[in-house]
Amino acid sequence: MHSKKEAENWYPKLVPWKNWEIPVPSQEAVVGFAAVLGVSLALHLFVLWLCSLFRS
Amino acid sequence: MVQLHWFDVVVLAGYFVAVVCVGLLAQRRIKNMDDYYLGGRRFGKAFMTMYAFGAGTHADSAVGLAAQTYKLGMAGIWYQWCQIFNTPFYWLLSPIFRRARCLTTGDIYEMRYGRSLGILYGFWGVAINVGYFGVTLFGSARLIEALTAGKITVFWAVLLMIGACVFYSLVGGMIATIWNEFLQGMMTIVMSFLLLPFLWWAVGGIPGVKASVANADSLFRMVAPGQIGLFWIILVSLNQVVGFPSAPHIFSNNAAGRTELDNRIGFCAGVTLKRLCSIGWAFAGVLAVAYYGAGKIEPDHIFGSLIRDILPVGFAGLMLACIMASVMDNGAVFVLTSSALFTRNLLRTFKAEERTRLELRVSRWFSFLFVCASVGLALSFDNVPSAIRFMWALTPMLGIAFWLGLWWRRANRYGAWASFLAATLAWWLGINAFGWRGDTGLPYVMSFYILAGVGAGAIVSLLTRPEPQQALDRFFLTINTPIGQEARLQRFEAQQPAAVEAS
Repeated sequence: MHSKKEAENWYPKLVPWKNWEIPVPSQEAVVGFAAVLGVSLALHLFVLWLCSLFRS
Repeated sequence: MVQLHWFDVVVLAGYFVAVVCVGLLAQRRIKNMDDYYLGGRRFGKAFMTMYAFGAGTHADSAVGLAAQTYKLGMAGIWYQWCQIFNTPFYWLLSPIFRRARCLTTGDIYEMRYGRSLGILYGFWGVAINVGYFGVTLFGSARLIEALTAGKITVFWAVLLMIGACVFYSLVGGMIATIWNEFLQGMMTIVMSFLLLPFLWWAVGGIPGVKASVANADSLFRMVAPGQIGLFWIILVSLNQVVGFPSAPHIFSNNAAGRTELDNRIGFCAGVTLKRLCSIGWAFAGVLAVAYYGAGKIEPDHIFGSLIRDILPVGFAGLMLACIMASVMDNGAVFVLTSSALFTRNLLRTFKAEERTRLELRVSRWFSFLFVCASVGLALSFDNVPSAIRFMWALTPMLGIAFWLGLWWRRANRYGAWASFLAATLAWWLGINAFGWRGDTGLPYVMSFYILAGVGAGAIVSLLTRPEPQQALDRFFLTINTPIGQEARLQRFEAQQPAAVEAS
């Protein structure tokens, strides 16, 4: 039990549920996630715009 | 035979001489297994971007996508586009591969679930790579067949490609592969878009397309009712997220960089670059409807036929060099990651520190056998889209256990085995008993095996003994500790009781 108690203190967890290990994402993770999502959305909108040119 | 300009022959010969030189130079840098399999973890963002892009981009990507958009219209783009909204999740997951401080994905399974899962992944990971390489060889061979107007058949094209590939991977290891992926990635991007201006001019732009295609409105829709609809898109996207961590080459894509940020940016930028190139391949397929007419060309031959018929004579030879180079690079990645799995996760007889030379020799012989199996698979496929659908089903079988083990402490080795067996059985039943085939059946079979795998993994884990507490603590702490903060791991180890429960 000692080892579990210690391990739980090493990094903050996103959810308090028993047996779940989802760490709180770092700032780099959150900013990068948003940036990559933004690029993905922009690419998708670009393709939709290209298609609309042919359909209009 | 396609007419090759003398300059094309010079380009082809020059490329192969350059590749041999890179391989020989790289060989001098291999001093240990980390160098051979992960290039010494010394690559920056630019190299990692091109490595991720090159490793994930093969001739079959362009051939399969152009075939689908020629058949179904722009909805076919989802054959590559399905990962567009998954990429942010790759950003989140990427550091885990580096923090695991392992050489292969199989090591991660072993660290989380014990030896039996490491061995299972050793076999399944090699099977996945055989699948990937088989599809790559088949797609590339179909392109060569189309480029040469059938003068070089699929059989001879496959044999032609593997010779160079074997030499390439055996000599240089991952260092040569990543160096050449950089060059190859640049060439692929150029070739993906080179076709479009010529094709655009040939069909007469938007007015030309509208004049020659009766159903331009449905051709340029992003869904194809009855085949690629919203259900298809959601399930294929989910399938990719579930499966991608268990694809063996993803490990080196995310662990060979100098820092975590290099890996993250490199991997996500490489994946995004591929999506960008997908736009070029997709439009090549739909514009081909205006150029050739619908259903006039065998879909798998569309991309090659366009290159042969649209581009000036010299470019066809350059494309041939690109295909060969692409297969060599990708083949090398598959061969290297497979031999790493074989030696690390299956050949436990050898101690890496004491028998490195022997292990390297064994892994090189294994690589030869691996290529033979891939060739056999490549020659068994009928068409590129069906080969791609086959590949999509291989990775989630063990990907489910990866995700369960990553987030849920209660997941154990029995649950992992159960999820693998249940998902595999569900896949087989879905195709053979329920007849869920082709694009129409794809989302049904995917939802069936994902649900079966998750359900069996969760239920069996809850009914059986959990993994040892100490092993779980060590695993979760390791994957949450960035490289360079090993003092934290040492402090953790110092706090543990002396007796370690065997896993």
